[in-house]
Amino acid sequence: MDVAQYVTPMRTTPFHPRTSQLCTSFAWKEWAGYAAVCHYTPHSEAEVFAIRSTAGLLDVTPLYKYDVRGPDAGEFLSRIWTRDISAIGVGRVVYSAMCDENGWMLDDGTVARLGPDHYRCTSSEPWLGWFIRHSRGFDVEFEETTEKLCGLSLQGPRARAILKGITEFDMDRMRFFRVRKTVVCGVPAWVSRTGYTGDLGYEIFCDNEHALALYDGIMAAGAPHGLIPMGLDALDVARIEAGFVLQGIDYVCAHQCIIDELKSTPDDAGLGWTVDLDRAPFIGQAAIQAERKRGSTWDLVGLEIDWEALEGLYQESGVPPHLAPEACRASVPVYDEEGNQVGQATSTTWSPTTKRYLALAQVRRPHHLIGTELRIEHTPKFERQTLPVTVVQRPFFDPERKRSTPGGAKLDSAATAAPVEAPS
Amino acid sequence: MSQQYDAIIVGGGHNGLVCAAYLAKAGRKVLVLEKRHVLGGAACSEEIYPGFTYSVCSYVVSLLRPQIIRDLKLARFGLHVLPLESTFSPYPDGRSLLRTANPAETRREIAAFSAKDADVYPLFGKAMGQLARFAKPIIDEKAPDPGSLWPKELTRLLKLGKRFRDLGDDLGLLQYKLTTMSAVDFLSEWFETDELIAPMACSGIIGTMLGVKSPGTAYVLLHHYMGEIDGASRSWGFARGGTGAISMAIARSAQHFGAEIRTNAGVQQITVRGGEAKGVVLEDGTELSAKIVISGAEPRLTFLGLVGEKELPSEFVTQLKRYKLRGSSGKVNLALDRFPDFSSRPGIGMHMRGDISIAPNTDYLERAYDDAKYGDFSKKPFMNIVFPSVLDPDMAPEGKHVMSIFVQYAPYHIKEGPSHWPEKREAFGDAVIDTLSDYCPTLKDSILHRQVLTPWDLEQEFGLTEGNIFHGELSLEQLLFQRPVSGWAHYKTPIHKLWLCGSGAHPGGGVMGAPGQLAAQEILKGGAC
Amino acid sequence: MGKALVIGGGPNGLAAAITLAAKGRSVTLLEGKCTLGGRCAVLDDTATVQPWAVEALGLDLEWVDAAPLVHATSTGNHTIDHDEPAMAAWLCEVATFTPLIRELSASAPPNIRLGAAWTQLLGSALPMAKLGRAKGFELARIGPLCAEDWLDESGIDRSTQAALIAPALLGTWMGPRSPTSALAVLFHHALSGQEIEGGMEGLLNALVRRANGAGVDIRTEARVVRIIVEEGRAVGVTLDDGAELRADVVLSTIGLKNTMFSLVGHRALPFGLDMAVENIRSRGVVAQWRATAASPLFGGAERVVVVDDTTALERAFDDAKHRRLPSRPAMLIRQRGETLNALVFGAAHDLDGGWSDEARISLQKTILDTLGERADASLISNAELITPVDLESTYGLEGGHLFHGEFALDQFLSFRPHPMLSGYKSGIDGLWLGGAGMHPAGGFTLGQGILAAGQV
Repeated sequence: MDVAQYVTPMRTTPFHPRTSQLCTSFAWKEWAGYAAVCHYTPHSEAEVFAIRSTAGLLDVTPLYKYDVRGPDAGEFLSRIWTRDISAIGVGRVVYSAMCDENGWMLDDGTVARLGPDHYRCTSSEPWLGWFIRHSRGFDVEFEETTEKLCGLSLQGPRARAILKGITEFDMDRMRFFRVRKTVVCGVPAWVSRTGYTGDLGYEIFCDNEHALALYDGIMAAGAPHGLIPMGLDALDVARIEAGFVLQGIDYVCAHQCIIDELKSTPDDAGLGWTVDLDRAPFIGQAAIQAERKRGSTWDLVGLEIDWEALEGLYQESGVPPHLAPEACRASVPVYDEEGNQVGQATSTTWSPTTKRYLALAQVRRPHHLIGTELRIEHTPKFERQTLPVTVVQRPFFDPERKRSTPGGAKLDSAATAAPVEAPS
Repeated sequence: MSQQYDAIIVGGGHNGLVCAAYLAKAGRKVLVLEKRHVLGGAACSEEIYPGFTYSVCSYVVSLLRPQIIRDLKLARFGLHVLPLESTFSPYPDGRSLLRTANPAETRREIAAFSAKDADVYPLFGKAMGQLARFAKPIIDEKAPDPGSLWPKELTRLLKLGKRFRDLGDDLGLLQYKLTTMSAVDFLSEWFETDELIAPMACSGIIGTMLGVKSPGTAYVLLHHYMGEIDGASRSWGFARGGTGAISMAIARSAQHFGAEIRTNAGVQQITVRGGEAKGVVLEDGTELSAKIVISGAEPRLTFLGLVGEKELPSEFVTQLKRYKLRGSSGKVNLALDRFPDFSSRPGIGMHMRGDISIAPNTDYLERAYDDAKYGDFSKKPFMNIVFPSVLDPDMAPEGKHVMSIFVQYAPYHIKEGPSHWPEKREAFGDAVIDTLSDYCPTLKDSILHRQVLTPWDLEQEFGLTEGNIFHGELSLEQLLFQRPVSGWAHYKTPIHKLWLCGSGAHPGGGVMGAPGQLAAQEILKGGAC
Repeated sequence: MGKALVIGGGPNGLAAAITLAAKGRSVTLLEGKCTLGGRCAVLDDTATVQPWAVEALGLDLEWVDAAPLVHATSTGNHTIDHDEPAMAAWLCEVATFTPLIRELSASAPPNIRLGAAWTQLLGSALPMAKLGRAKGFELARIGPLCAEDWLDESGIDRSTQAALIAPALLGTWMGPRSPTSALAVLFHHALSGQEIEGGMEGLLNALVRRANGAGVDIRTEARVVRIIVEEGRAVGVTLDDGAELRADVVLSTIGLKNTMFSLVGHRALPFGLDMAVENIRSRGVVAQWRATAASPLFGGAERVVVVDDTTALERAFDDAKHRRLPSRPAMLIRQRGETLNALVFGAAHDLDGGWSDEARISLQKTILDTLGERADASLISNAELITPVDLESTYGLEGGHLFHGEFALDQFLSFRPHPMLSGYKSGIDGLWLGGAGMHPAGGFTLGQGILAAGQV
């Protein structure tokens, strides 16, 4: 009997012919039904360093992507997302949260305005059904482009330099959170100055058919700059350094929570800043308004774990301090000084960039205030111990290069005024 | 005269055996009497054709109560449940839909029909999961009695009311809709694809004489989300060795606890004197006495067949006569000399490791129902198929397979009269094979042996009155405090010392074991034996 | 007291307008067509009009005993005999539930949303409690049954059963073998009583007289195209000529989807409400057929039901269910002088292939053939078929459904049409709903408009 008959192969992205060659570690995991690389070489450290010192190239094809078109597209998306999407100009990208009717977080993602009546959303979960369900009465059309468009995320201080030589558009003029349709390595592509690393970076999307040309072109152009492929583990460390939350880890989509206690509001998840509250009705508005009046119970904070105490703990146990090279996604209890549990750290990592041991945690207010001293559980051997932690500013790492644009402010108006879909 | 036994249990089906095991475990002297040569009743495995083991009637297990598995140590006595991994729906036009535990893959499968439905599908699953949590305690307790003024009953009712309120407005409404709507109407509020609605809806009609568009069929959908195997939240499973292996594990457990079990011992009569059950008379004339008699047989058969109308209050007889049985399904078991490929998805892939629904669209299902409504078997029936030998190779010789086909509709009441079923049996079997050939053209050539069970056969052979596989329709007015009849839902009967422990009692049919367990609980609590 | 606008000049619109005017409001009634009456032109059965409603409105009309019902079958026609023992026993059983059902139909249903007080819920349980334990259990048993199963218990033959069941099915999407159809039959018969002299026309005239007397400003040919919602509150309407009318209260008695989607618009609806309205089921299964008879058919009987037995009735439903033309429709005929008005059961709104000319001609022929087996069809002329699609376009009956929403357990009492819209509230301040799609269901009761206006 043919054993292969029992197997349903995992999906692969159009970059798979290249990534599978490069992934010598065989470390793959499932991402939205696709096989995605965790780390290319046996350790992800080099990839984290690339993000902060040269550049790394990540296959982000599995992101859910939706193109929304129509005269009411902006108004419709404003109803779905917590940001007032109708207020953003053509060529801009915003990061936003999405809630259900009760103000519970569903997802976070980006919305790019590609044209007057054309937007593209990215998200971590599929939302087409949700969009359709809430689109009655709006003149709007949806196209899921998840499987049509492939994407690469080029992140790191040399990202601009790499793209400059191979992109028709002058990358010196592209500002933070802007998007352009241009040609990269001879391939028509959308380039946005966005990413999930908190560093200078770009995301490039093109039709699947051009995937390999794009990949090869970028890798070739990047070679002199030290570009290496990177996997999800490195991304995870970088996003924690940048203080970004991850759906499913730092908060959970309300649709997947059986009980309310597991759900989070934008304020609970530290995404209150993405809520434009006083405007036309949007999903969750009334509930968020009510919560603002009451005050939210939780906040998402950055924690720094006291390194010396950690060393002390290991010393006592007689083992050298050892921290995993990748981020930890297990939820770890956080206590106040009296030993009451006041929250949980949801993402923890050693930050090679800042040389600090960091965590993102949901804690009850008022323990969220900067400078609050708390304790976090840590298990060096088998016994549970606690370590002192301090609530610190997020992001933990925020380089100037993330936002700065060599062309300066005067380019801004020109960049936004020009039509994004430039005639080719 | 001293009684020979504390309790005699009529019928060695899985519920009778569960009841016996619990009573024996509590130290009672118990005798189980089974008419057939094998135990299990409708939950039995038999080697009908040499080398091939059929789960003759019941073929999947889902709601076998985890506490029964623990209490009766069934794993020790040989119970091993293999989860069914997928639900496969082929369509005549060559398309197909496979739903598995992999959400991303399932989403893509559904998205080929409708992107919206693909996204709604997990939400539906979650909502149903929440409702299942509400409903689950109902099958683990005796039925609530809304008419009672006993403080204990009132407390239970209030608790139930509170649980319902705790569901909140949205889920509360959903629960109400689920209990009252038709499966298709209910699903249509969520999904737009008929090809998806049809195979989902058909779980609502299994064993009932209703169509997927008949009100009150939606609630059975919940069963799919209440499923648990070994206490884990999974939906359907298949017992290694066939469904009979479950009954055998229970029987071994009962024997371990000291119960006596006799096969080929059909009960002719339940002896009643002065409104009190005294014992039973076997078909061979043997008289046996016991402190109490417990019947695992279907209620109408128990009372009108074994007790006799003259011993019963007339109002009770009226209610029993109204009790709806109306079997609507048949079973075809096949021994195959090779695997029959489905043309829409050849090979023995993941899609063969679960159940397969022949339910291409809701109109198809309704037409199948229409045939039955006017007294004939469906020319193009709904079918639920499993290949037990794919999961458990011991069921068939190497390289060969058994195919279990649940077929609906095959109404007991055909227009010629039920006793004419034997003349139609082969035509019915042919209709099944012909319909299946639309989906697997090579099937006909690979059949070594075919067993066709009509509702008439189910009645004659397994004592399933009118061929109803659940011992009575699971319709709203025959559930909870109204099962089997209003006022007698707590396993007691108008005959003193005669109890019910079969699927005709709350919470009803399916290989749950719950009626047997709850009956034993009630009997022991009241100190009846 | 302020101004009120009532949308829809059907019986419920008139009733609501009269009730609001009696409460001292200045009421304007807006009807899109040039005539008042709405569904009155289709339904010609006033037996389920509730006496309390007539009394509440202060209508000046007379009650008369309902004309005998002639049952026309292919094997002969005869008058339904209410004194036949099985029938009498069954009617007796129905009568034990009549007070409860009439009481439920005479008041607004309890709010079952979480906000509702326990006291209100308990209060609503009182009428149930009055039934007593045995009857209560009996109702719980009968409710989910198929009509045929229930009537089988009574010993009434299946031919006569069909005559009793058919009228109750007009407001449902069920056949006699659908579970819960017993409840529809029970409600229909419990609500039925005497008829109004002059029938529907008599009722309509009395309503218009009373409305005029109460000072209601009745405007016909005033089609509302928009309900103006400002800051979440309905403040008036826009007419098709562009005129804006402002008021404190807007009460719509037209279809629910039309009101909420076309007049209010999706964007003004609270989140979740659009799904609720979308899911309201109103699948029409009835066509209207009108004709002239040169001389009276069926011996001049005023009320005739044309159906052979429950199997035929079920088959008629099957035809509707499968969206095909009915081959043997069941018909309820009202014969007034030389005019015949029939409601034809089994005609699907969503007929496969649509209501083409061929389909219409074919159904016309089927109707004549069916009648021809039972009466002298050659006397019939000027036959006119009004399909469910026509009913929708002419009278705004969504899905062609005569009662704006099917009678079903999940669209019933507090659940009618949906808990979010229960209590005649629309979810938008200042906008109330009082059309046929609201509570009470089970027949043409005239209750919705009055109860809605009473809640304002």
